[in-house]
Amino acid sequence: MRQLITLLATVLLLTMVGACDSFVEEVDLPIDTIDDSQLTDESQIPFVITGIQSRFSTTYDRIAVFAGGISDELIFDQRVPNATFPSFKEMDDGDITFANNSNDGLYNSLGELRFFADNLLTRIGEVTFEDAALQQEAQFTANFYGGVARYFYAAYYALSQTEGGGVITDDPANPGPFVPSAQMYPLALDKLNAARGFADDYHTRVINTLVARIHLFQGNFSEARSAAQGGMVAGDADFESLHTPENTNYWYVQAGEGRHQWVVDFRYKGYVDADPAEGNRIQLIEVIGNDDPPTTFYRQDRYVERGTPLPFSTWQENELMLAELDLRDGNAAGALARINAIRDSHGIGALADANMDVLQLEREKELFTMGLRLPDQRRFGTWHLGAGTWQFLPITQSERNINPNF
Amino acid sequence: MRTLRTLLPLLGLLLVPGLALAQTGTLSGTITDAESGDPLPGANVLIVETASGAAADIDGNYTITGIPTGSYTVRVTFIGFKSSEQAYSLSSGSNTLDVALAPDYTGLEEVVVTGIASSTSKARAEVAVSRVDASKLQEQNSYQDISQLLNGKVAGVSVQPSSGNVGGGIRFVMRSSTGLNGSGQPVIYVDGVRVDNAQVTGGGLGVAVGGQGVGMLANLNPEDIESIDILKGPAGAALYGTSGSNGVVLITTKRGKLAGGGVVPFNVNYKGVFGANQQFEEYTRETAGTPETANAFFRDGQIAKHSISLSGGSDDVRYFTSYEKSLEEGHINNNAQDRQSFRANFEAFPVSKVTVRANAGYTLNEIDRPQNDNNIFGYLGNTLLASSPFIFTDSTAIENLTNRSRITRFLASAEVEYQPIENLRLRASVGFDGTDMRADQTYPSNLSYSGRTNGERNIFNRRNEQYTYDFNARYSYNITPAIEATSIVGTQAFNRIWRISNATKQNFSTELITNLGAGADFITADEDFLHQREAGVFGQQELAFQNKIFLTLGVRRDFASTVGEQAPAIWYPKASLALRMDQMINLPRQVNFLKFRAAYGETGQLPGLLDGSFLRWAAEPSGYGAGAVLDFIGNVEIEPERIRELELGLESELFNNVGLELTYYKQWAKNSIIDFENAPSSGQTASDVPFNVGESQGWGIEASLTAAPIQTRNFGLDFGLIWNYAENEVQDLGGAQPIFSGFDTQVIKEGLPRDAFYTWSSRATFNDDGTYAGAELTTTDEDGDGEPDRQFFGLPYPDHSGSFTANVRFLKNFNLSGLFDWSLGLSVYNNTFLFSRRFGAYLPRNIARVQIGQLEPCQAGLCDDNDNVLPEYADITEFSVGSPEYIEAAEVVAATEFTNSGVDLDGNWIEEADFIKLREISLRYDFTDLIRKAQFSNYVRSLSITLSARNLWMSTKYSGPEPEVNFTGARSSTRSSDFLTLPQPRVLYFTINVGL
Repeated sequence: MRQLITLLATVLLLTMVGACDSFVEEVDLPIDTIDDSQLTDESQIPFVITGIQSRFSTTYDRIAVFAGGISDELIFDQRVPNATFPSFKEMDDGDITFANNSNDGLYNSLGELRFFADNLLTRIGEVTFEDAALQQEAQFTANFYGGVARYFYAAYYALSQTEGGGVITDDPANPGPFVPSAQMYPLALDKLNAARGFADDYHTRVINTLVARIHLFQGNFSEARSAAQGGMVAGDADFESLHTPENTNYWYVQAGEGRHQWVVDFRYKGYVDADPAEGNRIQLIEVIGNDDPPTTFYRQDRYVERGTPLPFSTWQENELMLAELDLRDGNAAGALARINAIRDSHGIGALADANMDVLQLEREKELFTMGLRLPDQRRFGTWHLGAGTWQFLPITQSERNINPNF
Repeated sequence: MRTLRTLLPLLGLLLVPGLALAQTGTLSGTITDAESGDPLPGANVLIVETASGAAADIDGNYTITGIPTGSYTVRVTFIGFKSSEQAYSLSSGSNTLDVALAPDYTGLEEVVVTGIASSTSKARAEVAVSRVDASKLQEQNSYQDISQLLNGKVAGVSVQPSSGNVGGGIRFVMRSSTGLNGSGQPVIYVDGVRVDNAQVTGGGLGVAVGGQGVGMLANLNPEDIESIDILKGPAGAALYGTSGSNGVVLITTKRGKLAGGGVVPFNVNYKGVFGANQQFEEYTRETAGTPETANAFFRDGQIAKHSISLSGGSDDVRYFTSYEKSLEEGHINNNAQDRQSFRANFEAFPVSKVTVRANAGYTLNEIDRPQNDNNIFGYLGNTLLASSPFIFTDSTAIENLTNRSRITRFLASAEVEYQPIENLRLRASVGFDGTDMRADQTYPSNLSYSGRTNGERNIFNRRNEQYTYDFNARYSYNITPAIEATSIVGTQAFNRIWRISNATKQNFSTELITNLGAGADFITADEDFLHQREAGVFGQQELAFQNKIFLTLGVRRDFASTVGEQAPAIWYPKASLALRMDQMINLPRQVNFLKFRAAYGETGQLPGLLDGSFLRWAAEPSGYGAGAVLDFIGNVEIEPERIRELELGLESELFNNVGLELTYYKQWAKNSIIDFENAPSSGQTASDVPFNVGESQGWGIEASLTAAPIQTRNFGLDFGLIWNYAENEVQDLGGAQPIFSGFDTQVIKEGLPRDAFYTWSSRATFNDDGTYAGAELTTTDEDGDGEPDRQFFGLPYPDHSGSFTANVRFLKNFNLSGLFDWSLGLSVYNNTFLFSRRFGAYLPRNIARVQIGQLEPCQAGLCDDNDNVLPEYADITEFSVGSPEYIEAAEVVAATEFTNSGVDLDGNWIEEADFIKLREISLRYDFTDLIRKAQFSNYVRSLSITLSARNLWMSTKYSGPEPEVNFTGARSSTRSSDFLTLPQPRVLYFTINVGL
């Protein structure tokens, strides 16, 4: 009997082993994700392109707000109802910890933008395209946003308070070194120049405007003029990041109707008070403070819906760059004409004179909420905080913890 | 049909003896306590051969009728007493057998679970086993959930809620938590069904309340639980395989018991509990920016619980059924649990070799969660941080923000045991645990909430189905007359299907209509789905030599689902040995029992469903359409992790009434699956990446001492002491960088214990003239990595812990019992105080700044509205520069900074948090004696009333209100972090128990 039971038990065990193996494999697949290999197909490339654009929108809107906060464009004041984030206070004070968790989210998002773009470029090489236009769009997207990501690193991130630059890691097992802005900007330009080869006329002008901006930030004025001359022109639509209720414009979420943690510096209210027509480009609305007696603050009223788009490049910026270059070349009349053309586009009266102070003020007003005040303060030497304060966002604690190059 | 033809004659044969033996007899008698002589109501008397039996009535009397005359074995059992088994020759007519049971003070007789298909008495067990007699505990006290039933009762296991929320999640800490993978939670079975032990927070899905979740174990009615067995580590749980890598908790619900006497032929038990959850300690200026406002949100939360059960049956069928209605309000507004549960358990013996069991429980539970923790809508966030209240959200808005979860749960199992031949027992069971949860969160449109335009409505649905299949065969035989053997083979399979969906809308025109469709603005909607299976086969060989030496060898092969790859599989071996020294050598007569045991086992963790993927992409809605974004980063080379455990121990009984149990264990985790964060510059941060690089060790000692030194008719004293020590160390991360979690405060790092606090702190510097010159970091960059070095700041869990229980019976029927428990070596990160300091309301810092001349008293908030210094601060003055008091105050100022040179000074806010609590105390009076004397026992079988309390007293080093909290709930790697988290309440109960 014992032998029989032993035999039966052995047969039972072996049967059960086989049954277990097949049992665990019969499961339904996840419905919310697909494997990477499934994207390497021409039919999925539009889906991939959209993903990059989506990540651009969730990166740029935050950069614009945080850059405004670090600069003298926005202020964080706990007398403003619902202004609570210590991470925002750190930015406003220029005393930003590496572990600032608001910055964490943006830094991760920027990393994804760079990776998604570069990853598409790799994927393009593995796909056999039948649709040449799609292939061209993919190549434009991958290079353009790859360039934008590198530009963001160079312009907005830093190793220390004033040492701009970022990190690019191609292999997660071997994180890359710190790349100073002086080297990161050329990497951005390489990508943008590559994108130009696949761009239509409008996007070629957008690229040129961005290239001009990068050269201007670096002080390469002749290259900046050369690029800006092929940049956006009056009548060109703004190049924007697009948003929806689900992918909300961050200005709405943290510096607008949704929640006003950030309000604008009081001098913007002064600009509008001095010339109400300025309200056409500096849209403000009151916020009543919770102090006693209450202080009246002002927040931006430009992005009034969750899905309001946010301009990234405009023809007005291109004209302002040309005006600056005119001034640097001693052509004040040319600069004034350009400035007045811009003002006229908003219904604001013409100025009589143009000089660098006027130009800086025009940039401050015209480029309101576009995140450009921060690099302008750096390059014009108008830093508003004390020595040792952050003029960039710091490369995050998370990067420093994980990346052995730090 | 052929089987039926075979069975029918067999059934006929079984009936033959009954027909042939026409003469029957009746067996009756009294069951008493051998020491006190008191009757033992409820004691079970069983005629082993016929499986017929009876329970003793209130006077200890029993009667079994209709027994064919003959020779039988009569077994008498009762919880807490050594069982008795004796031969008895039954003649026709009346027979009397009185039995006196000896108390089993040390529990050696108790049959406990020792493995997946094995159970034995503690006297023979080869592994450290723990059983909590929940039924007995609840006679003496009231418990609101499973964590309360377990905490302080089991050596090596702590079970704690992460906040004072009613219905919240609980965290098990099993031994040294050596495995680096996951949250370290054990698998939990109820009547053989692997149950959903999730803590659902709804984080990111619109129904989060700041950090705390809804615990799925809150859906179980503790009154239904008979016992809880715990296998604490791989040495005991190896044959549970992967699912048992963090230990196994086996909950057994009550079964039908034969009624003994009483007004009805079954047991009816009613238990009514009435009480209150109270704020343990009021906030003060030291702990809150606006203490009066904070305290005003607290209340005496009502507890009203009614449970009734029926239990009974016959020799063929036994049943237990219960209904519970439990309403419990938390000690803060907007926190409550309203639970109804039903249970029906049946056990049938259709023929002598077959046992059929069916258990079914159904629960309807509504849990209201309060807003707290990391949350601008929280009660505590709006009252503790700043010197004026409601800086984020108005009090009316906080009170009217509702979050309600409605949960229905069906938990059922069916089990058949069949003994086809002598000594071969086949057992098959199938179980189902289905939980439906719906959570609604509503921000009324007529109130103001940051980020919500005209109100918001969030809904969240979760459905979790778990199927457990179990089959095993157990064959017992003698290899030689001296060697008993038992062979076990079996298989287990587990199937889980999980779905969630959520939706959010805003912009409601009226607060009177809150359905989702009434919101004008769509915000988000999503769903998710998971299907996962596990299966394993196992074999075990048990050998016992002359009741002296016990040896077990076993092995299990486990499989788990994975997407896109072949299912991973792994072998887990085990071996264990016990030596009954008292049977082998002559011991001093004071030593009644001595057993040494050793056990080794391996379990582990198989990679998760997606872990073997390369990259997985999801669709993200955007202004451009839905685009591909990275969602999960896997590792195609991932392998199973393995945890090994060696356990050595002894059990002894001294003087017949002192029990001593000692266990030493050591655990090794190898190839641990650790989730690493990629460098953000890689762009691959959508998820952490699993790697097999972890190696860690842990060890610990568990000791328990029980004693019942005095037991007389009118007075009894027994006590128990549990002491645990555990430590672990991460030994190898394969050269990888440390992994940080929480607010960058905790780390997994080579050379440190898991999740150690590892960050920076500051200290004071002074000018030449002795004035305070500001704070500096306490460390420099000695390792040359470009940033100041971090320091170890303690552990978010204790290294020493324990409990002391005492039970005093006096005046015969009064019972006073108490339980103290403590944790030593525990640290807590007080992020509440850190944020209070950020908002300028942290009083110790403000006082210190006055003392070093940085602030005037009124600037420090020490004055009334008329700028007069409040009397309690009248002696706060500026110290003279250079004096010891000045230096001390300056150090306080420096140590309450929160940032320096770009690093967070979280170390300044990590505190020692050792504590001791009077966790339970109760006074019970048992009227059963009176009832018997008054001859009411035909109407009422038992009656008792109890006054009890929980968390009545605490002493702690922690300066916050409560050391047992965690603001991210009960599952996160962040632990012991206090951030506006609701403290545990003091609970008072009045309980009445009536048995008919």
